Amino acid sequence: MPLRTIPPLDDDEWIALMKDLEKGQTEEQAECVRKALALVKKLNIPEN
Amino acid sequence: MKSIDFTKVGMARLSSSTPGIDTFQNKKAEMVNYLQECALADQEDKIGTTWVWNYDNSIVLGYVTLAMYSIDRKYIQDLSGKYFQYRSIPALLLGQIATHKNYENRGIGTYMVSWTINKAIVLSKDVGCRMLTLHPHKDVVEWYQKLGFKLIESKHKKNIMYLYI
Repeated sequence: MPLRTIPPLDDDEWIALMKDLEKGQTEEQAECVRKALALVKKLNIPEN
Repeated sequence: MKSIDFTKVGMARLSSSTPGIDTFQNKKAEMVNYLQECALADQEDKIGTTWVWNYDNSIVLGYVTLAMYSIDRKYIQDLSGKYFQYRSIPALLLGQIATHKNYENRGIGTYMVSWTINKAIVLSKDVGCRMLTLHPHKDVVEWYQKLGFKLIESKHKKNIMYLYI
């Protein structure tokens, strides 16, 4: 079974993604990233 | 549901000596099959690197497989705008992720995705990496949305998701 890769985007999908990319990260998305980083820092699971 | 004592959780890159691989279980047989049959070969071929979280260095709680990737356009059409000049956008691919079925709903999946977000941010300082992307099964799309991922609008409902980093 292969990795679940991303199929190429049709133009409508590409345009939607690029328009969103130009808008940039929303405050809601930024908050999700902050929460993720805080969780990683809090649990601090070691690499062994 | 008993919570996990995270002080007993460790993680490491998959190797031939990683304990607990043979007893890993997941509701989706393909997730088990990938870890047990394909992951090491993909890693040796540098197609995907698998990271495994274990409990007490014996039970595999879950794993993720990561790869450098890009989101590509199928067709060429002249467009204008800051990003429209590119035909692909660099991304980190979350190519596989699974939690042991006996340890679901205890925060392992959320932690593994959070760790991957952190990994993407660290990588993006050295190589171009605009987003973390994945192609999840339909039944987990909502779960990823709660973690901040967005679905690419698609007539074909391809379930391609991304998170800006």
